[in-house]
Amino acid sequence: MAETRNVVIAMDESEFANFGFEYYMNNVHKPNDHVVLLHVPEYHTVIQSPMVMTDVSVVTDLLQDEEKRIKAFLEQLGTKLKSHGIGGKVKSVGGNAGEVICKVANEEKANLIVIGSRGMGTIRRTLLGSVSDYVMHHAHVPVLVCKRQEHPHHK
Amino acid sequence: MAEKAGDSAVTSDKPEGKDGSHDHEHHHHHHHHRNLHATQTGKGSEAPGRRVLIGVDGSEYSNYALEWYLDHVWHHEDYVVLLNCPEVDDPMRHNAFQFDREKLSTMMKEEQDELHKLLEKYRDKLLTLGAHGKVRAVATKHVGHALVRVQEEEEAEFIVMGSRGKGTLRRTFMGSVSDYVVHHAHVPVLVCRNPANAHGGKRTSKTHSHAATS
Repeated sequence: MAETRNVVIAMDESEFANFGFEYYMNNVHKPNDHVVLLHVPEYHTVIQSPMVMTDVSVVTDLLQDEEKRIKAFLEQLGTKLKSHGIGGKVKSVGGNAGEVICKVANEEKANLIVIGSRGMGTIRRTLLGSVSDYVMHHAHVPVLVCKRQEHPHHK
Repeated sequence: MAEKAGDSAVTSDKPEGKDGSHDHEHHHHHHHHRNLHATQTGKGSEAPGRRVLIGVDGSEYSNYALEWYLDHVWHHEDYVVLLNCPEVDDPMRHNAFQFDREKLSTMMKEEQDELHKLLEKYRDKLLTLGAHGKVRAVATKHVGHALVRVQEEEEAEFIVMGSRGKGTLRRTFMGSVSDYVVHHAHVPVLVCRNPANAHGGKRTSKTHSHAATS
């Protein structure tokens, strides 16, 4: 079947997301696939900074730095698509990561969502929340959760 | 059993003892998994391709997962292990006051026959495609743990499963098995949600923090 499939791959700068991408490329990717690399930027530095309340110019600087980093990352993603010869696009959408991924998957009429997994323990998942959990339970399409073979003591 | 073209070998595994693997996150579970049945197709474990484990329970969810895998991911050289974990409940539990031996043994035989029919169905599916693989049945109370265990045994590179199962029994509330497997397997897991049941989000969302991947 030479039909085009739409695949949404959730990407951040972590090795886990990259593993998801590589795994998809090696095991699932077909030449006609239309791939959306989706980045959900989080303004960590700014939100967690203790200086947010005091100095507007510091906040602005932090935001600008963050913007630059994000822009660089998105360019990297674009290069990734090109170097693998993949038809597709790079998207950056702000918001709650799980919700954004599901929303974009609907918009892009995805046939598959690919997401990496950090393999957090139960307690951390409960406290911090888990994006792959959310996506798994709310997506309307198959979700490939990529965890790689770990060394047992890395749990 | 009608034999179709292609190799097919039937073996019955010896019952296995206690599974002593530990999960660092929880209090220690010791799960008993008893092998019930195994059938090979194609080249069996000689097949050179990727090794894949697929959880099947006869439900539309797992059928959808199997179909999706076959349509979108399957390569002809893949070695496909289909794992079924039947409910081999103690019939005495439901019929505590039923002392009719004959009736009990009829019930047990019916259960066995149903199980075999299901496994044959899956075996035939593999045979029709010319797929290399194996159909296994393992009796257990903890399906998620059995899947992870069998993945390790079979050295499967990834796991395919539905987002839910038949959900008829207490031990598996909706979605708990796929949850378990995703968080305990050390390999990628493809969780297939049946689009016909798209609105079945049975969980209320937890508060999600700002983490890009988990």
